[in-house]
Amino acid sequence: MSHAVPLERETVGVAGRGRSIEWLGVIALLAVIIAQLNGVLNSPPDRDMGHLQKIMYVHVPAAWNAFIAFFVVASASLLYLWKGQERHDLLAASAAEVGTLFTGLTLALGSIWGRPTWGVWWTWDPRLTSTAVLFLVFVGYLSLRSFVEDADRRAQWSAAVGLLGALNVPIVYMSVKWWRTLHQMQSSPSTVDPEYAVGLRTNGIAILLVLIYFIMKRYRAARIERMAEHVAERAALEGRTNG
Amino acid sequence: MADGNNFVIAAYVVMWIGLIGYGVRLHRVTREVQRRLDDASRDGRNA
Repeated sequence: MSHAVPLERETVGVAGRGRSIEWLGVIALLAVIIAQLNGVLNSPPDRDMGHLQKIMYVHVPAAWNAFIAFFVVASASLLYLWKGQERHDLLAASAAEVGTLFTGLTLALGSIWGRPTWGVWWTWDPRLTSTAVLFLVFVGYLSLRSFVEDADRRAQWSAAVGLLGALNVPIVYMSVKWWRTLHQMQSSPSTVDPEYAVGLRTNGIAILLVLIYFIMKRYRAARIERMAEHVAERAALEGRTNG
Repeated sequence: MADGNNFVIAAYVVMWIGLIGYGVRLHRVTREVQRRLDDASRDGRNA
């Protein structure tokens, strides 16, 4: 892939952004702590679920932000297929990794909520099943990236799988409307009691900050890794020419 | 916090393990790729 910016300048540029990303990490960490403390300490127990309602403040933001991450994957994958620029492939891969983490957390937290509420850790409900499929598709995406050696081929295949995988997001979202079974309708500030809406919003925003921090940090690491490969290749080439 | 107390605590613990675990992994990956870039740059200058 061609670089429009000289490698030395780009190396300094990407490496220099590290400190501002770390500041975002500190802000995101503080935001999560404050939002969770506020949610746990200040929201009253739910009439039906009691204090189990507080799991909503981690489960729902994890799910929302997984969807946002996969939207980034789909957008970056489309851009890669259109323009063929390496940075779009690296952004898609970074967002896919973080999205997979949040989907895994969504499943685990939902399972912890389901045991006392439904009496089972897992059931083949359409919402749970479609989320598990989404998770597995992106585990496959990450595996694909790890075993394809050729960078261009890896990027093209990943973009195709990333786009197809992200198509599953609307299915997950709509599953509770299309097949009304065990999982309740989507929890959002407009569907929950106003007493819980502020907690849900603030936790959603705090986890969004964490998502942005993780994607930016992963993307920066991927760019540095690629630069190290380019520098090593160039050094080997120059060594061969001089020798 | 009587009913479901353990499940609520478990959920928050799992969330924090996930976030901190991934944060630590990212930190290690960044440190490793930075080291590789520094090594490659040094080799390039010496070539």
